[in-house]
Order: sequence, then structure tokens, then C-alpha cells
Amino acid sequence: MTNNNSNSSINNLPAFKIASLAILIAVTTVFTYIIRIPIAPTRGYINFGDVAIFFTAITFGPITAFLAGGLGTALADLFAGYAQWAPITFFAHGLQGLLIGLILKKKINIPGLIFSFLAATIVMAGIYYITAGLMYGFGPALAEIPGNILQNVAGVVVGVPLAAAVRKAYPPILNYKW
Amino acid sequence: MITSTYIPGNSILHKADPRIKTVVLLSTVIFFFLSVPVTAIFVIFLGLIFIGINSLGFLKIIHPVKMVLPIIIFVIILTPPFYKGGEVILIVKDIVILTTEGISHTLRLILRFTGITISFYIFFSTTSINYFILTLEWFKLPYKAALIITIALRYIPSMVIIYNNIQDAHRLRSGNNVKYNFRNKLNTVFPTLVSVLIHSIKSIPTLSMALELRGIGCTAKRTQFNTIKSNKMILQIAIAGVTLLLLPVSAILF
Repeated sequence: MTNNNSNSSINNLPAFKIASLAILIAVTTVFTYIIRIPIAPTRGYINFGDVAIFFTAITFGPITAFLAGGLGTALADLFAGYAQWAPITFFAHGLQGLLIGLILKKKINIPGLIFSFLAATIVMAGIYYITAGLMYGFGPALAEIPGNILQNVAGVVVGVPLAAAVRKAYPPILNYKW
Repeated sequence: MITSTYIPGNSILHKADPRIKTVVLLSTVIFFFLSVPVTAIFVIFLGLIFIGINSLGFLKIIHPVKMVLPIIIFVIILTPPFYKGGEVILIVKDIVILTTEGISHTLRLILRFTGITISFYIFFSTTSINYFILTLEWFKLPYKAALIITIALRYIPSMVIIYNNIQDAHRLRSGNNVKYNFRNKLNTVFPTLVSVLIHSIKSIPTLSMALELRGIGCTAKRTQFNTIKSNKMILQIAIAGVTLLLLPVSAILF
């Protein structure tokens, strides 16, 4: 799978950028807040926010992924009643999207996916760990790391095939990158 | 899906200027991170609880505390054994479990985390999202950024409806006898996600055309229907901010 840069001018219009960002923020919020798959052994669940971030980074590029990933997940935190995490979430997931988008900008292959997954996980989980550590101690903050890693695993395992499936089913999306 | 955290009311906080509330919120968060005595943090924490109960009621203010309760339990279990200073309170098999320093630090962390959580909860329960965006604009957030968030907020409920409709359509095709384990759930969700994404992305050109027709992208300065009036708010914001930042200083001096 390779990324094709479009010659189309529609994606250079400010209105198009605003529209695509708004829609992708909404997509990320809904994927984070609504779509949750329960995990039987732990009785916890994984949300699909990271899936949306991987999809946006691969399909729309790093800047869109930074803004849509950051704002979308921050809004989901706000609506879920975790407003105190929203500013941190913006940076953690925003940088996660930016890194994935930058690494997979030229070509999407297995080493690139592994590298993007590792870089995104370290940055996202690291930001959460440091801020949680500052808020309620670095010992208790360790408990959040496995969940964050699992979220990113879901992101790469579902998000990459999802991007490929959407590209196959709706080829005009290749012209939407900016 | 809840797309607004605002709880309608008629309290002083509901009526207060959102710009002042924003500055006070930031000052409160900064205060909780300052190296001030635990008693000073406790006083501010009690103040927050009092303001919260006065504005939203007791049951509402308990809600955010219940949400962070698992983390508070983690803090209570994991923090004290790492602090050995002060008077020893509990020793198990020559291992110091609890000291006065441990208790003090645990209390500080609990008050900090719960205090920040309650501050944000009170702010977003007494400030509508629209006013919050106008406040951010007043603090020089670019118009386009505010517009993006506003459109996203309008689109989220529609997208939830689209997701539910597509999910129902896919369920009709898969039959009723599917056991919903992790793998089946994932297999069911994937085609739904593809359909939802395509449906959403198809609306981008239409939305961008609508924005073009409304003059988005033109260089001329735009006028706005909804604004926050700028009376003497800068002075009030400054007073509110300085007052809150003076609290820890006075606590240290005291």
C-alpha cells in the first residue's frame, strides 16, 4: 500500500480543510466514546479512538491526524466526564497521530508500521504516565500503562486494515490528503 | 450520546463570566501543583466542595469523585510505603509501611487529583460549550479553529445516529444467533466502521461547498452573531487570578 499525493486542488481550499478536520474530529470522538469492545478476562474495554487516529494519519496525513486525533479524543474525554484529562489527551493523542502520519507519510510497510506503533506508544503512554505521575504519584500511574499499550495495539491492528478497506471501497479518498 | 456537560442552573457560577471562570480554573489547577502545606490545599478543596454543592447540589458534586475513586484507592495503597520520613506508624516484618510523611504525601496527591477533577467538573457543568468556545476566541483562539470545533460538535450527534443505523443494518444481515464474544464483535464492528467512515468522508465535499458559499476562506474580517461583551472584564479577570494565586503565598506566610 502506497500513499498517492493528489494533484487535485480541492484539498488546498481552506473550506475543505475546515470541513475535513471537523468531520474527522467528530469521527474520532464517536470512535472513542461510542465504539467500545469489552475484554472478557478483565471486564474492561478498549475504545476505538486509536483506530480513528491510525486511519486519519494514514489517509489524511500528519497535521490532520495531530488536530483530529488530539481534539477528537479530548472532546470524548470532556463528554465522558473526564474533563481534567482533556488538555493532556489533546497533546498525547495529537502527537501520537502526528508521529504515525510522519513515519507512514512516504510508504506504508511492515517496518514502518512497527516503528510508528512503537514511537506512538512511547510518546502517548509516556505523556500520560508523566502527567498522571505528577497528579497522583508515579507508582499508581504505572497501572495505566498496559491499558494505553493495548489501545495502541487495537489502533494498529484495526486501523491499518480499516484504512485499506476504505481506500478500496471509496477511491476518491486518495485525493483528500492535505 | 451526551454532547454537552452543561447542567442548567441559576447559581452565581452559572451567571459568572466564562472568561473569569477560565482564569480561576487555571489558577486553581496551578495552585494544586504548588508546594504549599497540605492544610492550605485542604482549605481550598473544602472551598471547591462548598462552591460545587452551592452551584450544582450535593449529588452532582459526588459524581466526579465516584468516577476517580478507583485511582484514589490505587493512590492509598501504593503511595505510603514509598515514604519513610517522619514518625513511623505501621511496621510489618521490619518493613515500614506507614509513616506520617507517607500519610501527608498521600493526602496531598488525593486532594490534588480530586481537586483538579472537581474544578473541571464544576467549570464544564456551569459553562455551556458554546460560551467556552467564545471564551477561547476571546483569548485569541483563531476563528477557523473555533469554527472547526463548533462544526464537529454539531456533527457528532448526527454521526452517532448514522453509526446506530448502519450497525442495525449490518445486524439484520448477520442474523440473531451470533454469540457476542470478542472475535465476533470485532468481525461485526469492522464492516460497520468502513460504512460509517465512507458515509462521513463523503460529506466532506458537501460541507466544504456549504462553507465556501458562506464565505469561509475569504480574507475579510468576519462579523459574529454571538459574542461575549468586553466591559471591564480584563480587570475582573486579573483580580480573580491574582486573588487565587495569592492564596498559596498567604498560606506559606501564615
